[in-house]
Amino acid sequence: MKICAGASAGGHTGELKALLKHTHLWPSQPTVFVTTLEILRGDYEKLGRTHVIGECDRSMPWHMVLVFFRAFWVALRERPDVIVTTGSLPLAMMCFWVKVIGGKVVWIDSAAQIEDLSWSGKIVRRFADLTLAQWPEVASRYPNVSYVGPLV
Amino acid sequence: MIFVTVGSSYPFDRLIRAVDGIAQQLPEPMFAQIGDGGYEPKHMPFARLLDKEAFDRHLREATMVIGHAGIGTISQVLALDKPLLAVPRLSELGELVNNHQMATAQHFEAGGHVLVARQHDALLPLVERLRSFKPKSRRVQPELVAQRIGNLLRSMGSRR
Repeated sequence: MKICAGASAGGHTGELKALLKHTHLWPSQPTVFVTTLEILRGDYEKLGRTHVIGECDRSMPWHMVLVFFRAFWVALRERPDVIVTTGSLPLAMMCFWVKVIGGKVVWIDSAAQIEDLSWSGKIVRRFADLTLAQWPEVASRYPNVSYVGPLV
Repeated sequence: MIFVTVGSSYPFDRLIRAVDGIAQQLPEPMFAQIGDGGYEPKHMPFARLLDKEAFDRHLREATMVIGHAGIGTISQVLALDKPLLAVPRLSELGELVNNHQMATAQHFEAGGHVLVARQHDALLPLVERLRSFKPKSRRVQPELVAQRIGNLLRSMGSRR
């Protein structure tokens, strides 16, 4: 089973790192990693093969297009069986493509979203195989979003 | 040392400008990670983006932290039991796509974990309060999240 783990720069990466400390609870270990800024490449490469797809948010339409295609290329090349991510939008694009090529999607919405799911989370939960929120109040707003505890 | 950080994703000139404005009135040495900002501080040393090792070192050496209200910053500072003055980015100023940092800041403030500066022009009295602020620690459960994902992965493995 090929597991891809990914997170945007910033808090998302901190959340993913907190999760990755406990992957001994998984039947196999993540071997491919996706992040958004070059400065983080070295840090991620200590864990495994790393792809940097660039940063974007929905106020940057041109970046969104670029990252969307980079995500497609990475998904096609790696063909992971499952992607596990803590967001944000660039990783939501990865989730979309992994799903398209037949993989499973695990989306953990950021703990920074304490009132509602993130914009990306609201989209990804529609096709994700597992969506977790880090606040019980957020999870309770959606039938297919669960809360088991906070990562950070 | 007071460590100032805007996180690693976006610049936050309003915060850096405000802290730079009071830096000379503070007795502690300062250091700022300013990101991709257009404003370069004149009264404190700074770096654009520290690598993880240098960032962690600055955080460990800091007696207080002034930072944006990002979850990464908040959780890292809390994990070290250090006092944090969190300044939320505001969407109406184009600093973020929504106001989730204000919500985050208020939540962690209500829990006694951080102090929050709602206005960037009133930092000095808040830094004074920060000196004696003892943050409440927060319980995290990453192992439960990993376990839940592990259950899904095991169910996948048995199907293949």
